[in-house]
Amino acid sequence: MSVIAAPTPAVPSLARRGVLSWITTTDHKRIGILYMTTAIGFFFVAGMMAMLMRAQLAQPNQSIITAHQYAQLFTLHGTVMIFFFVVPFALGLANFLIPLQIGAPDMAFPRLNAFTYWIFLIGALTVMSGAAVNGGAADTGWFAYAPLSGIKISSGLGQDLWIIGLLMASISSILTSINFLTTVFIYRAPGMTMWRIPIFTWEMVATSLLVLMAFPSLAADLSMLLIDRHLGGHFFDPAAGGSPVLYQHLFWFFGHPEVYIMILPYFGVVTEVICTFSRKPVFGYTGMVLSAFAIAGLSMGVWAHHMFTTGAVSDPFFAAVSLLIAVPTGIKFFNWIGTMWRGSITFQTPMLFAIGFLLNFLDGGITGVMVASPPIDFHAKDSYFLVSHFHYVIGGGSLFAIFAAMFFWFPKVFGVKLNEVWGKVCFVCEFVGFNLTFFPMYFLGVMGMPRRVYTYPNLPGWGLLNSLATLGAAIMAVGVILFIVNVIASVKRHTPVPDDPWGGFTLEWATSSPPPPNNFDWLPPIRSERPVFDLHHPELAKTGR
Amino acid sequence: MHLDWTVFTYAGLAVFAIVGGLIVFPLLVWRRRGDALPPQFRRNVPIEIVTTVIPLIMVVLLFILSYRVESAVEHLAPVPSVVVNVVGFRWSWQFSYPGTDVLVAGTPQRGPEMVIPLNETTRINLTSVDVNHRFWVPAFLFKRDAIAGMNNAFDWHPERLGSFPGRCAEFCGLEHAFMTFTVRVVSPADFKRWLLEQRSRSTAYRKTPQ
Amino acid sequence: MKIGVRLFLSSATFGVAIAIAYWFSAHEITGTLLLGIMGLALSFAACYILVAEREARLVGDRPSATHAESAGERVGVFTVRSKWPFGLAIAVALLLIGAVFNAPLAIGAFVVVLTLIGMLIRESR
Repeated sequence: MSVIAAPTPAVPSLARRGVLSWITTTDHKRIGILYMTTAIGFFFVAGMMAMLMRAQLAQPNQSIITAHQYAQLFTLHGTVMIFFFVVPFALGLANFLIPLQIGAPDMAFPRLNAFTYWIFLIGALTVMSGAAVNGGAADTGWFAYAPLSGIKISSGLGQDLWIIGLLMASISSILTSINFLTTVFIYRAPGMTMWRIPIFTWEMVATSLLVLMAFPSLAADLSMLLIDRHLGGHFFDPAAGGSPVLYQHLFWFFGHPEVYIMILPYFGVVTEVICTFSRKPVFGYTGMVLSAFAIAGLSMGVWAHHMFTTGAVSDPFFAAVSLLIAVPTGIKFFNWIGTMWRGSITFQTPMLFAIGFLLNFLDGGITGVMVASPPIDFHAKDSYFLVSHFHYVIGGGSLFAIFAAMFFWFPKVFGVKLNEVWGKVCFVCEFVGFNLTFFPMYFLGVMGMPRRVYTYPNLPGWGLLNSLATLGAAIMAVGVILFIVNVIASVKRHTPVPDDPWGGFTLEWATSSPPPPNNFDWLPPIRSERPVFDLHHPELAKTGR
Repeated sequence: MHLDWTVFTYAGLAVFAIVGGLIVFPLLVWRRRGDALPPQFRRNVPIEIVTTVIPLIMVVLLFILSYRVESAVEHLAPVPSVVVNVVGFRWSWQFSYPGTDVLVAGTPQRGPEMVIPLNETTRINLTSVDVNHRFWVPAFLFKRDAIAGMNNAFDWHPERLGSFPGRCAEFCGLEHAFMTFTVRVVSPADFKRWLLEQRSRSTAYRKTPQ
Repeated sequence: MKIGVRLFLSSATFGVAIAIAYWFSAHEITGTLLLGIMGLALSFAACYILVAEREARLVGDRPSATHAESAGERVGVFTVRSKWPFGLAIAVALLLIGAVFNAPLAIGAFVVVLTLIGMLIRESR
């Protein structure tokens, strides 16, 4: 048995319990928990916004809420879901898992880590505080195109608070990715070469690289918008030589990599879950790694597929690269299938959500390939077809992977196992509800319903399809409530959880649930990408890479 | 356009059926029976190559199709029969026929109607005077941005008579949902008649016709 | 070559290559600059790691390293608790808010930010 040299923390003078201990913590596990619980809280908030929108859209010509309220709802729903839920949950999960998966005692920069959480929280609250100011919250959509978001038309404080909040979120993400990269580069345990780190950690390396490349463009765009709004700038004002198209270039140069930032971590989650519940190593480890970087790299070159209809960009270049991204994504799919192939599959809740992810993301990915073709985009863009596409990949994809991650790692993080039966019911509600909500939207889009409309006329089929979507959303909400109840009841029941409740492969399953403050009292030898599997099956232990 | 949609949709359905089937198949066939570990294979280079090359070929073919369809759609005729200048504003559209003094402007309550001739090329010049709008006629499977400071020109060559609804497809403010319009395709003779009718209503600026 | 260098250098090369491809196929300046500058920034990171981490020999990079070999090694300074990150977050938030709404607030917050960064540096000594 070998013992790692973990620095023993000095006994702190401040308590390990209580609110103060959470405010001053620099422990990556606690910061991860803070990120994830905050993100889930924002998920509930943005989800309720969605429910309000769906209620308004259930029937034609309704006025349950006004156009102005609706505009704030869709703006905040998108902003909160993207910036304050899907991405921070991934960063929080990575915060918890990366040091454990590579055998490190903490992140490279623990205090920077804490800072990124608090600035993220304040940023989120800043964006949402717009709802309380005169004129309301930002209401120009989550991309806030100029000139709509300029000072002439959107003079309210809400837009400025939105901009400032997102600048804070940008700072948070950029610094977090620096932390992740440094940690993975430098703090891997003995024997944990780069080609032995778990796929989740590799995906986080690719994600971190994307954050570094993309967020500065957002920060620049937002700063330019601020200058236009308050300092007499004319970056986006055509009357003075500026261009609204410039805003779009800078926004989407960030915006497209952002959606890959939202999915790559979850490719990692799904990989870990599928391997564990198929009891097989990942098929095509090298392909998974290379495809992650291919996706990351190519995603930097596709941004103007969000601008096909502007008439200001080279559609063929962006169509070509956008279609090309389907290839590495396909490689991942075939590798997941290969992992399950001839495996020994069990269907616990995390696996169910992972399978749901595969089917939903397949759907969303296919419609993504469709809208990558400019002639199709000419009809589908900014219609409900597009709304459905991106919800399939983010909702059907990332959200399902988030559920999978929660059910899979909850025992490790909290030492509490969530109830399996209610977990499966939650899955059924989410899978049925999700598809019922978004599948009809493909047809609505093709029939001509644009996005971001607070009401619509009574055209044939529109009312019915919208009602189905609202019903689906209600079912999803039931699933979410079941999840909350599951968490509360499981925490109350609190049966102790072993180190490795699922038969996992990677290092986090080699320590207690939850892990001790210094992460590991003991580390197994690391000779492959599955050190815990090798520990339990020494006769099969792979030597080599 | 329809070709592009058809090919992509059928290809998409086929891919979903095949890959979806490959996902579901292991779940039915290889469920856990007992404690024995399954074969722990990690690689199969021939399969990995095939699953890279086939999608690559498909994507290249789909690109070629897209490129050809788009080139056809975006082709601008050297001399269009009719020109209509379209201006988007908060919250309706204005259609003017240069060379005549025909001008049709709408309101959110009453969208404007553009009349164009069948089987002839109509050039649309599209711009905005305030925020970004997007000019969408679902029946033509086509939309284009109206951006201040930019002129977006495209041609329509309608092959069906009828009245086709249009909407704004870029959020532009509180009445975005009501920024509708209509495109009516009539025979060339009817079009000439319509033009004469409009001109004879001698004011230069008019609200929507009856 | 260290993984950091390899990652950043290959990303930088890709950025520059795609910028060139983009210019010659689209002739569009904004995108070309975005991609090209991204490539340059990444190469900056690669060069930094190349030079600054030249001497480092990471135990994690050796496939046959054992835990016993690195026992007793000083891995780094991992501060366990600190009140400065929370304070710094508030100060940075006030700085940004002040920059838009209230210049004196921004100036005051900027001073606080510098002070807190100083406290953070002192804490890690």
